[in-house]
Amino acid sequence: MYKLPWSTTDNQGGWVEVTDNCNLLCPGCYRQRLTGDKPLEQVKDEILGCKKITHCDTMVIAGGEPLIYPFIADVIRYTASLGLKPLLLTNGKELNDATLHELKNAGLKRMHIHVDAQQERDGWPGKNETELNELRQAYADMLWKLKGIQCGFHITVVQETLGHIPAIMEWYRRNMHKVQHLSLIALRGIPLIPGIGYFVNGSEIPAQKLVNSYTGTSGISITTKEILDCIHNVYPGYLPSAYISGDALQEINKQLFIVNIGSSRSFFGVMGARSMELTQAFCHMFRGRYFSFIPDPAIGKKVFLLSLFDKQMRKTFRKYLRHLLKSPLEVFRKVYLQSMIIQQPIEFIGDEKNVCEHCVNPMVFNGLVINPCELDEYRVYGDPIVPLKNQTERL
Amino acid sequence: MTDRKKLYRFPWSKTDNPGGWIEVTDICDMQCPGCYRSQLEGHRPLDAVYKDIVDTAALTNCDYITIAGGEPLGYPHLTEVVRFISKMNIKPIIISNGLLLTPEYISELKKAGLAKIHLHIDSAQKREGWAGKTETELNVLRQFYADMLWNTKSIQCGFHVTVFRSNFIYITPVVEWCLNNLHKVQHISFIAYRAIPDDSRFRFIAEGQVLGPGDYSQPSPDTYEISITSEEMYDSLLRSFPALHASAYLNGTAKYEINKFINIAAIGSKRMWMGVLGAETVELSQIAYHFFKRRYFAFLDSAEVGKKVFLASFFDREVRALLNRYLRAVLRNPAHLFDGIYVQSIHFQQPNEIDEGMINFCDDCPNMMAYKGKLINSCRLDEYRKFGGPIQVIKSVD
Repeated sequence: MYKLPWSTTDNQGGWVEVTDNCNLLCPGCYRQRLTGDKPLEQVKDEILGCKKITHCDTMVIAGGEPLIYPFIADVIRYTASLGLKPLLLTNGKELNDATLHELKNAGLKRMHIHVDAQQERDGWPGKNETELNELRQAYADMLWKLKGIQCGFHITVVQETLGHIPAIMEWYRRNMHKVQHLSLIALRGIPLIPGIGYFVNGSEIPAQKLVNSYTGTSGISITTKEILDCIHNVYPGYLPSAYISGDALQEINKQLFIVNIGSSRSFFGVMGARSMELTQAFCHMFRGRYFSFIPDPAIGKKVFLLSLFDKQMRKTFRKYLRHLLKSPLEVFRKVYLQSMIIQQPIEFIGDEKNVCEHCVNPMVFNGLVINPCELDEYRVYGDPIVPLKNQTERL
Repeated sequence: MTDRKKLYRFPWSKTDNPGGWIEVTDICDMQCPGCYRSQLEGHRPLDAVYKDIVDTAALTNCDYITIAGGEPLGYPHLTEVVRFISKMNIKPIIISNGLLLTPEYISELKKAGLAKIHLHIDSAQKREGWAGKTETELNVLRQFYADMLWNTKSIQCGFHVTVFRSNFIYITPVVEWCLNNLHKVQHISFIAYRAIPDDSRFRFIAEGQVLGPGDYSQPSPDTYEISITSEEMYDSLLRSFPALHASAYLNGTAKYEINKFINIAAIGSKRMWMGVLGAETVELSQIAYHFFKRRYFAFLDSAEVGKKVFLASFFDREVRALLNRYLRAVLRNPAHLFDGIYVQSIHFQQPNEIDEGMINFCDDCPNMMAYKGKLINSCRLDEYRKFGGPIQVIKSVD
């Protein structure tokens, strides 16, 4: 696997939050409602500040729910005017054709829609992840019809999700042309375990005041490896080509990246580490920035040129050629890229706080560059939480 | 402030880094101001050293390992350690004060596979026979070591200088001396002196225990003395050598806007300094090395890069200027054609510091080491050895 070369000051991504209001309550959410909508000028300042320090290519616009922010189109327009690719993170509830047109005209490049079974959406109560593929399909079709905005999905993974991963993957495969991204994000929270206290500036935060806390670690310990194993039980071909390690625990792969190649009818295979390395390096050499997604996912057959350097890509190319032999019409179909990230977010393991080494989407808060997953530690407690083996009385 | 758009951010990370670090002993025969190592354990057992080397290599994917201490030349099994690293196909470097260096010792280390020695020589050390000498006068001593290593034909030579307010003005003459020895000297590091400032707004804890001021640093360091930045050192050099442009940097972990590392890659021959590599060439060389060798690098097997470096003039403006100067020199004196072309790295560093209550390391430090199987910053080793874990800063509550 290739260790992605991104760092905080030379990163593909940045992050801005426009509001902390939301119209859905998702388990595992680490954002509280404290300040409501931000003034537009502040959002613009934060975007500019983030761009300056991170040198980013994509700006993730998140919240809260950004679609209920009144100036969302202005934010997207401003982001695009800076030469950044705006990516919206939403639950999709407010999506309709009129809004989508407005966002597209403002310059939106991509939308990641968080849809999963724990959300208890109106009209979808009690539905499992497999059944929710229908909702995902509806959004994917909506964006496909519109053209111009790429489509991705986020799914928070809990124990019950694991059994549905084959069905999610099967659905994802069928939508090679319509869906460009899938993030499978293991649920994390703060585990309440004997002997470990959570401190901010030397004062312990009482357990009842810890947001997003869980008794013990059982519900919040699914790893990227376990999720990958679930995929491999059915589809062994989904091999990760790149990773990001933990900051404190480097042996943990916090993020695994898989890039799929296929057409509207067939899945051919994945990219290897060499292709990831070459594409990142070349993009940085010629454009001066790293990247996380390309403007047009219909990359075309030129992608197979990478098989000159990449064994994994050669396998994918051979699979493509076999498809051609079986069905010569395949030669007229477009070849698409589709990405997957398997992720275990910020976590507390014993007295270690393990964030991703070089967060892929750092944000600006009060002039500091921070990880968005730690934002509420600053907003609620004033500073980041530090886990300590219990030593309260000494402090 | 140096414009980062003109600099390359090294693509290194913790788990894909050119460098690793091992300490073989904490015994030293010199007392350098700013040293962050206490004598607690003495010489380490060879097996423990081997284990840490294996762990470091596995955790960092490193291309070189720095053997440090204490004074490694005083460690009885140093040759074995060098051989062990070299056999792992990793380049061994020694950081030493040079007191114990003899031609015999060097030839033994050369046989064991030593790639490079970095000698820490500065005026604050008050070396026997050199007390009261300025950095310029110490260039005589540097020359002595550089010549000694040049005679080995294979071991590269580097120097470290700790920078205080007192020797700050000597940065330029030391660099000038290095440029005059471009073929003999491959590296110079200027490392700003750091200590933890007294600040009643903050307290320090480690593993949940509050530390006393004397536990972690010399008491009451002068804030002006500990505030030299990499940027400031680089600027002072540019005033005398405006063409010595930096090409790469590493940022701070807490204060991202700070350039903790600033690197210049100077190019020249034994006769003259010609110019520098630009960010594009440094980037391409890191990428190419990683693509073919599966690792990043900080220095090459041979510092004699040869004339192929001029090929970079196709895409690197700095190299075009360099080639221009070279061609003009050849026209004036064709003997230049037969000279080897060398690379020399000039490096400014402001190490681990506590700034406004924030601990600010070098992001993706190339000097990480394995300690009990875990990767830590070597500058923080004594926090683990003395307090069981790293220092954390907390705001004081009245």
